Amino acid sequence: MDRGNVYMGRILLVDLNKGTCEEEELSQDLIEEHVGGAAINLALYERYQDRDPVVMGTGLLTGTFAPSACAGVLTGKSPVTGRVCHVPLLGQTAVELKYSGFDFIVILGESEKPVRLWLHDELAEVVGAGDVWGKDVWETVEKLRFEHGDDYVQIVCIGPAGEKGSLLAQVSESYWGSRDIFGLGASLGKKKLKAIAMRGLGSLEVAEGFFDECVQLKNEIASGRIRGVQGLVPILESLGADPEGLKAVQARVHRNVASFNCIYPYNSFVMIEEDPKLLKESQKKEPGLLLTDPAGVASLLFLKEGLPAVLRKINRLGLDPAACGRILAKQGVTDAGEAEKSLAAFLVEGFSLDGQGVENVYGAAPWPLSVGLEARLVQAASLFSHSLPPQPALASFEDFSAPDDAAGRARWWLERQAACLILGICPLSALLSPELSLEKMAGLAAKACQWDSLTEDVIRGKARQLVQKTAALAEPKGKLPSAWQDPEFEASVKGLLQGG
Amino acid sequence: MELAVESLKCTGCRICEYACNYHHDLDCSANGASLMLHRTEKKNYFGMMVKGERNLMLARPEGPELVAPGAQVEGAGASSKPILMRAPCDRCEGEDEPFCVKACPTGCLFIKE
Repeated sequence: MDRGNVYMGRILLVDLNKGTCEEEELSQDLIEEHVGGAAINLALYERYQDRDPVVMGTGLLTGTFAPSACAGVLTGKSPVTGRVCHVPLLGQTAVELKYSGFDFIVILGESEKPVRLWLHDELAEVVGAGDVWGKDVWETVEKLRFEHGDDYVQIVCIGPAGEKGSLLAQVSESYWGSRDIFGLGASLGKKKLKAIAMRGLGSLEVAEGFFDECVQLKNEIASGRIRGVQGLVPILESLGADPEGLKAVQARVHRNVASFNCIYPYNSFVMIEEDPKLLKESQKKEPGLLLTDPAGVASLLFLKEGLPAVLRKINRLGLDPAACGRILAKQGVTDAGEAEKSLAAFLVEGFSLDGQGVENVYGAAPWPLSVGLEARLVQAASLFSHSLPPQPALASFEDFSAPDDAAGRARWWLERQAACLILGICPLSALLSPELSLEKMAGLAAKACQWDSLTEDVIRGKARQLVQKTAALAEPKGKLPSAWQDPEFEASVKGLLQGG
Repeated sequence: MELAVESLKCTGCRICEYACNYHHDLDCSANGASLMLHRTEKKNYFGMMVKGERNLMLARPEGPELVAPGAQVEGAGASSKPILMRAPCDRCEGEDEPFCVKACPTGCLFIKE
């Protein structure tokens, strides 16, 4: 196996109590045992479990030519669910992490004073964050990019919600919302870690023939199921979201944006204070925002034309839009101005869905539109972010040759998410394109690093193990929504998590 | 034969930069690419810049423009400067098709005869 084709070969250990960074080699053995991404994250989490670690890692193929190889993953114990969880990082974040020279970062302990982390060109520093603590997400990103003199610096950070310890706090990916519905923003806030800024000029070796194979699969995907479709709205449409709300959002869409090397551009920029048809650069400083989170948008659709402005405020405060939507709906708020004002009350230590009387799955069920049994099962499992749809979108289970029964489909979903987060393949793209099969992903992974024994079966086995090991690490807190509580359902969830 | 950009088709995935670099340096990175995505993220204003033999093509959403290297260009921030030090695009001399064109998922990059 050729490590240099897929990884930089470095793990960074950040001790926040001491304010130090130490490097460790990413050994060939660790890769051979766990492959990459979420599985290595979990191994590192277990190794340092007594220091409440949050691990940020990249998949085996992250940042390579493999189609949709944008994904990284944050692993930590969710203060919301009590479970260890895996949150996908999409956009450019994980690619920048790998090219900064670090494949995995393990964040240990807590700092006394606010700090931030700066990773660049194989160097890492813990620096004071007094200058950005108290600032919202957009101000923080702006200030750090200005300070480092580079707009391409990628930043994982928290806003006021995380600083104050609200359980609705989300880790943000630069300006935009992430897929963190597990309150990891509150975990970083507790550690007083305001931001991780990354920029790198690293490079990976490329195996003979790998580029051409990637291009071939890209062509199959582009001419397949997603052909001629773009943006977030069609995804939500295919899941049965409110057409009127979607129409209001679509009317504001400017241009759709793809995450690194993704064929389907599922992020949609919406203009608020500008004509969506504008081609020139806007003269306004902040004319709109990028919609990145399917569940968050689905959850806020009842605000109709008011959605973009409210979501922009939610992103700036570093809150989880899916949870905010559930609470605002429960409060009967439909006016955008009133909704924006209501958000201030969410920035309080320990603030949660539970306290607001919103029924939820271990604190975090954002899919009011999912009523299928398989969708309820994967939400109850609560290991991977259900910011992503709990089922295929723009395609059906049949298109993916997934099993016919609900438990089988839920297992298929969990294993697909797990495999993607191990390999670094975008887990949302993998719900849109049946052409991006596990067999093809495994073939590219084996080719990328000349690892012949890395087969589809091996990856499926690692994915199963990841599900079982993650679930076994911590008991969930909270309870299922009343309508879901029945012994058969609970037994099915248990079976899924134990690999039964 | 020139590399052309239909900027509005671009979705900003950046794989063209890595593909171009692969042609020049035979590795996977964006450091040596002759083209670069320029993006003002908060305004969703983005397009491609292609380093030519004698000039720089700015493929803006509102249309392409050729400028002399080093010219003061509105809207191109300091982050875009490295493009000036890169090798110019040679349309992947010796290959059947430029790598950026091959890798682009939207058809925004193509060869104009």
